[in-house]
Amino acid sequence: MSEVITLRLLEDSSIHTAIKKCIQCGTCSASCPLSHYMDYTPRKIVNMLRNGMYNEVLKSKTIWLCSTCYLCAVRCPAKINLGEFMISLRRHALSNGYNNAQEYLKLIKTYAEFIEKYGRISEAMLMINYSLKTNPVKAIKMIPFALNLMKNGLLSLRVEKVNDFQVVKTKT
Amino acid sequence: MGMNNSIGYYPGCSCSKNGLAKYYGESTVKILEHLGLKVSEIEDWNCCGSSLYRVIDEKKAYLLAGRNLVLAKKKSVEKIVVPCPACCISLTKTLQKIREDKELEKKFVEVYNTGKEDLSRIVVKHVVDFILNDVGLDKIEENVKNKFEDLKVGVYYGCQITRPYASFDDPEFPSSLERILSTTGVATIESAMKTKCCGGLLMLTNEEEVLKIIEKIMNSYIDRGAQCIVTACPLCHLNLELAKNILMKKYDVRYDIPILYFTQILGLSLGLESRDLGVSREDFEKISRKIVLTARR
Amino acid sequence: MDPRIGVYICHCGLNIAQTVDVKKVGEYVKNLKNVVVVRDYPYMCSDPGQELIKNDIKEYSLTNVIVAACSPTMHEQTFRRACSTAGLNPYLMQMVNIREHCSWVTDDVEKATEKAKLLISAAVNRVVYHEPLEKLQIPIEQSALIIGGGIAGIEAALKIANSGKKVYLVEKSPSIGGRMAQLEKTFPTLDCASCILTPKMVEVASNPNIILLTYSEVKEVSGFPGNYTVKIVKKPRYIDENKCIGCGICATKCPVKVPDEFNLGLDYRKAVYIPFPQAVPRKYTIDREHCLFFTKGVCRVCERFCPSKAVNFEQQPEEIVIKVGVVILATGYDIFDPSVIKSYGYGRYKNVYTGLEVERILSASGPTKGKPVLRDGRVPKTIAIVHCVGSRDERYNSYCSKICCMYAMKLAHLLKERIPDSTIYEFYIDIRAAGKGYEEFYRRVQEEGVIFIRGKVSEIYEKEDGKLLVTFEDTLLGVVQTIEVDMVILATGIVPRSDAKDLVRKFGICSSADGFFMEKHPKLAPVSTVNRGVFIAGACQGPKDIPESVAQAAAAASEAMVLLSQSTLEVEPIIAEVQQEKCSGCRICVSVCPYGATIYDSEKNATRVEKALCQGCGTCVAACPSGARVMKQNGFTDRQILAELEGILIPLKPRIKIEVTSTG
Repeated sequence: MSEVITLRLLEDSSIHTAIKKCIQCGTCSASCPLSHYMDYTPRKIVNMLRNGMYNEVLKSKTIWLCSTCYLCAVRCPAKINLGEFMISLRRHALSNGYNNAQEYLKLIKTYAEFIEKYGRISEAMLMINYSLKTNPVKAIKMIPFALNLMKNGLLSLRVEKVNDFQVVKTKT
Repeated sequence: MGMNNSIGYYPGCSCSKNGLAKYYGESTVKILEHLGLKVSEIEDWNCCGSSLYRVIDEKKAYLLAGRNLVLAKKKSVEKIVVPCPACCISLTKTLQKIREDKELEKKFVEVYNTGKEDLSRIVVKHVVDFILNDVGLDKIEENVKNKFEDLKVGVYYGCQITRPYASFDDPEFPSSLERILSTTGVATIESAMKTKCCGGLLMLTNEEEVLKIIEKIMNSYIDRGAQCIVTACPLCHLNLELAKNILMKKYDVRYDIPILYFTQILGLSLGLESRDLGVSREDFEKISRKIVLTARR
Repeated sequence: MDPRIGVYICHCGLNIAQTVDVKKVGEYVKNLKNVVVVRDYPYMCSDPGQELIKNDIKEYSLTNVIVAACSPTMHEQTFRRACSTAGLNPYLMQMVNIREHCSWVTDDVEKATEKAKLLISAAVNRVVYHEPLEKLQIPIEQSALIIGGGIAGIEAALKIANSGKKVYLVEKSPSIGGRMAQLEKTFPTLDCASCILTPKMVEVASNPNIILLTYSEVKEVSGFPGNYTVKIVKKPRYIDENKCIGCGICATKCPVKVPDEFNLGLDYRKAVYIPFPQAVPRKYTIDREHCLFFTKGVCRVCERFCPSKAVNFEQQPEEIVIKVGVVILATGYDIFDPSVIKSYGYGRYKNVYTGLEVERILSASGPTKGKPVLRDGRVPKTIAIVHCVGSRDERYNSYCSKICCMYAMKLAHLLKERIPDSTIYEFYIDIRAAGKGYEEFYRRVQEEGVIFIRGKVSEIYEKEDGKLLVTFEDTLLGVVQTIEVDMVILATGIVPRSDAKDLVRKFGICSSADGFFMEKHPKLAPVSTVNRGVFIAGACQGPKDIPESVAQAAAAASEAMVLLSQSTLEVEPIIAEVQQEKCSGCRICVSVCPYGATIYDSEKNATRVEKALCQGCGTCVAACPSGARVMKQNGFTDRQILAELEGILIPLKPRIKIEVTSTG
């Protein structure tokens, strides 16, 4: 991994804070509803960063499995917001071309398209677009559920467009 | 309450009229109006960005969420009521970030001509917080028309309503919803899973794992005799609905219980029509037997 | 005679010399008015350094000395003594702090040097207005007050009493003994806590030099080091201590059961009670809140059966005023309340205990007479002990409570001993076993089969059958697990007493950020406080185990006796003075003095300053509407301060336009 990427990663405040403050107690891992499905526990991810294993971290499944429920964050004795930490790691993985979480990346992409086009999203449209991109069979299985939504007047395929939405073109 | 003009309402995509939780949004506005509180929707609001946009571009994510704060500020709104916990987090986090991060503040001034001083008076409140602590239980009790008799309600908060920034209740063992629902006469069912995460957006990407979690959550209520589950989050509601359909196919009718928004139960109790609250006929039939009319004192 | 000033610039090794160019400073100072000799030296505070000053005073007939070195709190006394031995009044010496104020606050050599020059220049200007002052001698009251009757207070009281001085030992509960009395055994030697504590308690009761005031609290403190007046309130026991023979018939007959505080609510005591069998004094107390006579006006059974007619429902709180020379605070600690950590379920789950509760369960005089059983009577076969509960946790207390690792392992050992077929887990983050025999004890417990798992428990969940599911990450494996146990013990940390702030205020001391009492210097004055006559001992200063508390108590006693061994106390003459004949008697100074040292004399219609009380804060002087004409602060007269300012500002004149007019 290039030094520039490493530096950017380590300068990210939520990552930096975790590396600095973590006492490796494992409260986060044991609080996480999804840690059983992760390849490394959240605590281990912090320790891997401390030991320079950036590549392995950005390649890991763990960072994409966080549901940002923040249970770890409110229980952490070092007051580290590990939810924010995971979001930051995802950002670094994404911007550095680690594309091992295909499903999630497609979701993000679909999401971003909506935002950039309308400024708002339609969950129904988002789910349909996303399903078609990833798993058309599953999309078909969803039809009964969709019909049910429709019956209850919930399946709106419209998206309202936000006026005056220049912010999305801002250079950051 | 003398502050009606300054209360803004931010529905967010889910609770807007094209969203899957539009009845959450509608029932929220209906009950607030019924209780005499005028809230005005922030005009031309945009998506808060949720946690997803922060993965794409952190700074722009704050600018996105912040646009709504700027719009509110222009209308002199000081309090924004939000039904969706994720939107609440995005907006609150943005306010916090502007305060701490000088560079971001500069960017705000550059893009919106608005700095932290301008935004510092804005308070973002989840609707549970607002109903309990701003409207108050007395006001609700005065207006309750119907009481539910012996309806066993599983109260499911989900994760983000009290975490990580909210301070109006305990982050793991909150009681705000129970207190609000106590006015309606329902019997609330306690579960150790009440603030455990429903899996959120991972329902889309990691369905198998998330289903296992939701099954546990639903069991924790149904085992204790819950006849319906109420939520205060559009995503929890959606995930529970999705899971319910799958679980019903996989197992049996055990999972066939209404998943409602707390505002729908509260609305029924205040005497609003089920139609106006978006309670489906099926669901209404399942819970309506438990409603008794309370004679006004 | 013109003033003749000697200036002495210290290098403080490299502490000063690295950042302040001492040679340059010397060159500059040499040319200042009235300076006759300038020297720099690596360690001015060393003997040869002091010799330099002493010799120069004689050789150059110096009238004033300036030492540019560290903070006066470090070495002002040293240099004053040096001047004094050489025959110069010590108050004609002035210290300039070029370490904390110059070299330590910047890396910029030029700026630090410049500032050092100016500060010395200010002192050169100032010292010529210094007046010789004499220290005051104030008689010392030959007795000590010790607050807190735990092991630290007991130890300190015995030490001072055995040296022949009078000691008042004040304890707020009905018996002395403190936390140690609640413990079963002590780590790492496994001495029975009561067996080693009770002889000391008895000794306190029988020592003629100790006046034991139990069930009493300090209400008011006034005075100054060597002469404190303390108002103590003795709460009514409703039993005459002089008549009670401790037979306990009253408690046997009393019909009211109350949760027993000493046993942490694990069982009941009567409304008339002694806290534990070895209580000292063995005098019963009626608990007014629960006694049927006080709550409902009926019963009086105790009164009827008391063989010595000791019950007295009419007893009133008694105010006792004592005079003491020194005070030792040994007020101990509170237990962190783990119910705030909701995910551990303490208070909700009946089989989750604190360490101290388990001490009581294991104690022969405890609620189960030492049988290790749960609230439902079952003997636990699997036990999880959770370390660092409320300690090392930034949400609650950042500090390490220091004793928990050891007591947690001691409890594991005792439980294993009494339930040999049990499985015991210790969930730790780091084991802190530094102390004589402590690491060996840790090894021993591990060899006895206690399972150590490195990982903090994240949550505890109670099943319908009362068993507990404990979730944690074994961080050495990187695996998240949940195990089922019968009992969880929370190794709760220790926190400052809830009334610590109140004592801080009453005794004019400080507390550190964590709320514990603050020592004067963390290394070199560990039992002293900013108040010269007040010392601290034991866990009120910070988490501490028994050996440390005892050692500190002995240290505090010895510090106290250093004061008591003198008949008088020297007091700084840097205090306020009033010219009574010019005073208009407006009494503004009386209203502003925080020490009650300005006293209005109605006969003369003027104020006077009580020298022993004045702390030299200068508030009265600043408040006096007549200013320097009437009031004067020795060592800080207007003339001295203005001269000092001029000394800084005049060299800057080319850069800053200033107007200085001297008035004083």
